[in-house]
Amino acid sequence: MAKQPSDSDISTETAASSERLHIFVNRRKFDEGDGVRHRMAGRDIARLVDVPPENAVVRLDSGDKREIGIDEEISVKNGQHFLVTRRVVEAGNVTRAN
Amino acid sequence: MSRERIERELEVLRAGGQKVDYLVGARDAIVYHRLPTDGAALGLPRETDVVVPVPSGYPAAMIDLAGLPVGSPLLCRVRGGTNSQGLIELDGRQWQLASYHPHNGGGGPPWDQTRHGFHTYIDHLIAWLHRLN
Repeated sequence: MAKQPSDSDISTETAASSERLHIFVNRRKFDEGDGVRHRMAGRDIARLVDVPPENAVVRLDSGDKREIGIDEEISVKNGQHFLVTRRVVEAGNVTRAN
Repeated sequence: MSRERIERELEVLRAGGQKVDYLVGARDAIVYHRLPTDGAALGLPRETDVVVPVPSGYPAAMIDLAGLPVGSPLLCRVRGGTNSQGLIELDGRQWQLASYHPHNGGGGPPWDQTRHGFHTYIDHLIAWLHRLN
């Protein structure tokens, strides 16, 4: 896996691709066509990977990896990485041999 | 199984900086490298490689299970980790499959082959590695 970007990496990428705002969530790229905006709440980021807000935990995937509240609005940096996980994770059920 | 489809899905992840390998063997599988975990506070690894078997009949058959390297201290901390679904060997590495079924009661949505794939399965792997016992 490529190293996660530092703030300077993000700044460089911002300059290089400022024409198209994009972020990465769980290592996948999303752009304005997917709903990325310059200001987004945690729930907006969770929605990109189809996790309902009541079940989502959103974190920065660079820097301090702090948690972003579902209703917390942040200024999105171009190329910024996020992790979205579920609060509910169960083993699930075996239905067949794989 | 559609090799081309899987390669397209993996390219989505590679474009995001995620290293993934499609390994062909007795049982084809995808290896996701250095996925983040929430183990640091528990004295566990911050990252781990994860293997996911390619199901026979994919994409009609849903992606299921996840495995960690044999001996990983995370195995007894992840959901389904103590219920081994078998060992597989790929490229000289041994992996233990956990009984984790995100599309069948594990917390994710029901399998939809038109929307889901190995590029979305990473969501369930990262969630799995952040919900440690």
